[in-house]
Amino acid sequence: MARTKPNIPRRIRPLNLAMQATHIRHRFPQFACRIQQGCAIWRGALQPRLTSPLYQVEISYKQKKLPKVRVISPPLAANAPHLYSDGTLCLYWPKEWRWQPDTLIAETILPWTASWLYYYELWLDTDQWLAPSSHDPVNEELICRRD
Amino acid sequence: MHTLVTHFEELLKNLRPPEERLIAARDIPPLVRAYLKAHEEFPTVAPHSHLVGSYGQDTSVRDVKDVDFLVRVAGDPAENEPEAKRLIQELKKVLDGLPEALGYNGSTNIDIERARRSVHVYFQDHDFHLDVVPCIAPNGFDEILYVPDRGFNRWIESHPVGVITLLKELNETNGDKVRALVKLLKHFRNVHMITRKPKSYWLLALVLHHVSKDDGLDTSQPLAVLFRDLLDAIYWQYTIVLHTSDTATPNIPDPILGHNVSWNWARSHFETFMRRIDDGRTWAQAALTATDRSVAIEKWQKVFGEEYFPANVTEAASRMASVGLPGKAFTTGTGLVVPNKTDAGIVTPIQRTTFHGKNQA
Repeated sequence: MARTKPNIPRRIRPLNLAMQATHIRHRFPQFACRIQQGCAIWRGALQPRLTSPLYQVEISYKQKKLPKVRVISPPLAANAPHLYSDGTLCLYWPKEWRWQPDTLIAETILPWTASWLYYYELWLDTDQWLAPSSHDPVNEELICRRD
Repeated sequence: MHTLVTHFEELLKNLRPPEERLIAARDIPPLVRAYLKAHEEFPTVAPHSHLVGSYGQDTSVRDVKDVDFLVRVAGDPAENEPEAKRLIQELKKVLDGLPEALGYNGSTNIDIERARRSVHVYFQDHDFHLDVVPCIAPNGFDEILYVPDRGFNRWIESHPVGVITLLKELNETNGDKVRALVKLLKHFRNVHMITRKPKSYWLLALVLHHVSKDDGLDTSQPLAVLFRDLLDAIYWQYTIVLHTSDTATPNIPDPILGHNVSWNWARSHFETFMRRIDDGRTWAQAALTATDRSVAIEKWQKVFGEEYFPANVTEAASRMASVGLPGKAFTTGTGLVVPNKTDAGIVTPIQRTTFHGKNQA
């Protein structure tokens, strides 16, 4: 007689730092990693368009915490949108998507960083954030309705 | 500092040669290759021909009408065998029938009188030229080969494919900005030097020199800064020649073979070139230090011409925004955002997201 499995929610298996580093090295080979006191720090350059500068980017990640992304150089415009108050990039809207420890930085955070830089440059040239934004009136209305 | 990345991207688009000419440059050389192969009275050696010049380098801008390509023949350059003068006449004779064989209407003018090492075929309907250069390539196109000299008296060394390869390598290792720099410099010359133009090959050699030398240009900079730096570097490289002699002109070394390619640069033409370079770097510097974006645009328009450097990129930016959308676009390993998967290595889909954080837009 076949045993039925209890309906237990899937347990998230956190990816360790070495696994994250392997995937980043595979997809973004110019990023170098160092690990300090359980915190991995990747540094590398991204160039979203052929006419763009090379942006030196730092991603820091400690397991059970959220990954943080900072542009080291060139300095971002003082009034750049979609940044947290500590200067790190706001790459997703927590009401819509949440970081899980089984998520790959190489498939989410890093591509979104390239995307953020792409739209940041368009913003520099037009004063408009042309990517999906939680501040779009449609999204703000959605929040009000939910609240 | 306004680096105007979108404006420069649009500028580069505006400099592309007409689509019809790009197609002709792509499609006609293989037809010429087949045509020559079919003419046994002018035997060629496999792989018979190779696209070179600005179309081969992918550095052509706007209205470049010359499509250069090499035709490989057997011979011994040291013995002037075949005799360069005789060979060029034979090539001309064969190419006389080319326009008709390719089904083009209109008149054809084959010109070997100009200071070229080629047979010049003019396609009237398409308003472009083929410059067919015979060559002896003992070790194939990828090594040093031999082309007729100016008087068609002997065969001299040349390495056009080596230059193409060097440009490709430097471009790949410098964020794809080297080709763009060559195009911008050629266009700057076209806008500001109607006559007394320095040759495209000299400009290419200058760019390759300043990118590849120790302490050369910092190609991590945006294209706007890089172009200003290039003009600055050229100006300071040759200012001593300008100010210490009334007759001297610079020797620009060939990027591969090292010989002086600018041996026939007239002093007055060199002086004009330096005045224009000085104007350009002054305007570029003013553009980069302008606090007002419209002032920066105005200065760049002086550098590249109003009809090429756009004042308003709202439409272009919306277009770029829609092709780069998360959920649709991809990123390459260097962070380039592309609308489709490319063949260039691993690309990663950019998953759908909504950017958050404080709103200052």
